[in-house]
Amino acid sequence: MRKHWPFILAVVLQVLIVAAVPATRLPVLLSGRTVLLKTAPVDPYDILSGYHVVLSYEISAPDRLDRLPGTPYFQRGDRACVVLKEGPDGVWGAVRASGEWPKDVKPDEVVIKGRYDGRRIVYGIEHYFIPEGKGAEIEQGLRTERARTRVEVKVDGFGHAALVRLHVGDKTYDY
Amino acid sequence: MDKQVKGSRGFREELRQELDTWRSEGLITEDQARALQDRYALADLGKETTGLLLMTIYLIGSLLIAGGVVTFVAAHWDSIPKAVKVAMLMAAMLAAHVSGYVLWRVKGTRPRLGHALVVLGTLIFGANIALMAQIFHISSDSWNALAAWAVGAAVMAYCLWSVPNAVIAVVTSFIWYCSWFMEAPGSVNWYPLVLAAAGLPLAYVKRSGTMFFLVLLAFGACVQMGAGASTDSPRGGLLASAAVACLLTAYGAYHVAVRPRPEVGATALTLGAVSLAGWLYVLSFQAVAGEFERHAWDVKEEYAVAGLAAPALVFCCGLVLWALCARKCLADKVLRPVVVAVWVGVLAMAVIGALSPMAIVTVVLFNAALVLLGVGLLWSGFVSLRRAAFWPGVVILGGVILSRFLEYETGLIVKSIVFLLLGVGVIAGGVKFESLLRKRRAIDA
Repeated sequence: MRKHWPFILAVVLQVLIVAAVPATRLPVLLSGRTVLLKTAPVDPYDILSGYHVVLSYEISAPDRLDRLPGTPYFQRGDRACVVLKEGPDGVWGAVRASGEWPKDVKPDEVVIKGRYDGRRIVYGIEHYFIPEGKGAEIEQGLRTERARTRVEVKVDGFGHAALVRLHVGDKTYDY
Repeated sequence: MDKQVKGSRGFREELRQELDTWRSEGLITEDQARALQDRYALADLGKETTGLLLMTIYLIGSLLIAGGVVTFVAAHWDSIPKAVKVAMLMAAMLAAHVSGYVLWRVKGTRPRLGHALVVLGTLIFGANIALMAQIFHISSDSWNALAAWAVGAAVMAYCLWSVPNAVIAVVTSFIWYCSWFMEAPGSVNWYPLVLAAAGLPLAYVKRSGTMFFLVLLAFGACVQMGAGASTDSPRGGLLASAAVACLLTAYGAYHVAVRPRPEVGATALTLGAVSLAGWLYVLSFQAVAGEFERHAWDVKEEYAVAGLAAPALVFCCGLVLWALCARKCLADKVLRPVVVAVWVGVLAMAVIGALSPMAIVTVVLFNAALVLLGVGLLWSGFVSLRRAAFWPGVVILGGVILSRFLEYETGLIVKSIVFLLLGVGVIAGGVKFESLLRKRRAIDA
């Protein structure tokens, strides 16, 4: 048995690495607060992943955040902490942004953490993989219902976000 | 570990054909023929060919199966629950690994098929990382997945001493490095050294020329990319070329010292010397060296050079010294002069690059290094009677002397004498070399 240990060790490590991918999102999904975000999607094609929608949020554009009080000038690779607050229509919007974790977060506010990649701020919720056979329907929906496209995400106390579902017009697609 | 067989594959195949002729012509007795057959394991040649072919077929089959698994899950079937998808991915990976391991190491009945299945397991492992992200809609930089894949493959490679797994690790980690390099050049300068430290011991233990070559190729490419990132200074390209020349030298040293393929080794050594000579030659001109002088050493600007090419040189230094210390190398007449000559040249360049000297120092040292290289090649060419070393030596030496006399203002009489002497020298040396070579071949025949 002892001579098989190296192999067992290598396989266990590979299993742990694979399991670690979704494991990072589980605590967020279990304990996070639900937030509805407004999107502006584009639709590329990825050979390995099949069809997927690249989601761009209003809070992804640095020039939009620049209008908010106290927003620093983000440089490529910088961390961005954006404070969100629910609007009257149920959609959450940014109220302020900073490079560091904000101190005065009110109970009705949520902090989401991202990184500026040189073009936009990414939060790790930018990809929605389209289920087999739903591509044409979602594509059509995204074209006609762009203004009514929302993404439901969960955000935990550390600013990590996880995608929950996609709302295109009246239709809902669970993640 | 596999038993080491004497002689290259090509040599053994040729010998097998020749043995029949010799036997039929009565040049050797049956006993002598049998002794030669045993010595070079000629009876195993057919088996080795079949084994190699089978392994290739199995590996291609594994790649196709891995493609099938990836495509199936990537279709992202809505009707299959997430838990089932995850279970399918894990089961496919474990099934490939375990069945392969049993066939390869436990029962040992189908070692090649078993090994290929373990490789398939590692391919599915890589695909699983990407597919997990897809199933759970996780956006992350794809190169993070490549890094995780490389780690898993490298651990498997070492746990089972598997070269194909190690090759996966080298390829994926190199793509990861390239992605990082494009994102933030200079941020992962440690990679080539880690790659060499992790890859070379396995290449050495498994006597894998492929693995050794791949590691050095990736290493050389990283160094060149790093040098390319350093702007408007000739120093980056210079140091990187020195490092690549050292890599070729180290590769040659490996073949001479470890693997019984001295011809491959000697060719790599010559290539190393010639590529080094190219850069030395460019900077042996006063005008170019003047340009070099104008660029003050700025570590911040040339971080790629400071952080990458310099450690690369140090690493190559260690590798070449190791090769030199190997018993077979010290005894080899081809290796010593070339390595020493290349090495002195490299050190001269490194010192100049680091200390940012005056143009005149650059010119003198580089010319000296070039002459040393030329003499080293000439000498080793004569000693080993190899054209691939002799004639590059002639070209380098002739090129340096001619260039210097054309570059500087010299009287026409002096110029004509130099041309005459050079011409006579080249003809006399060449004739002597070729006649020695002819004699040697006549003796060998």
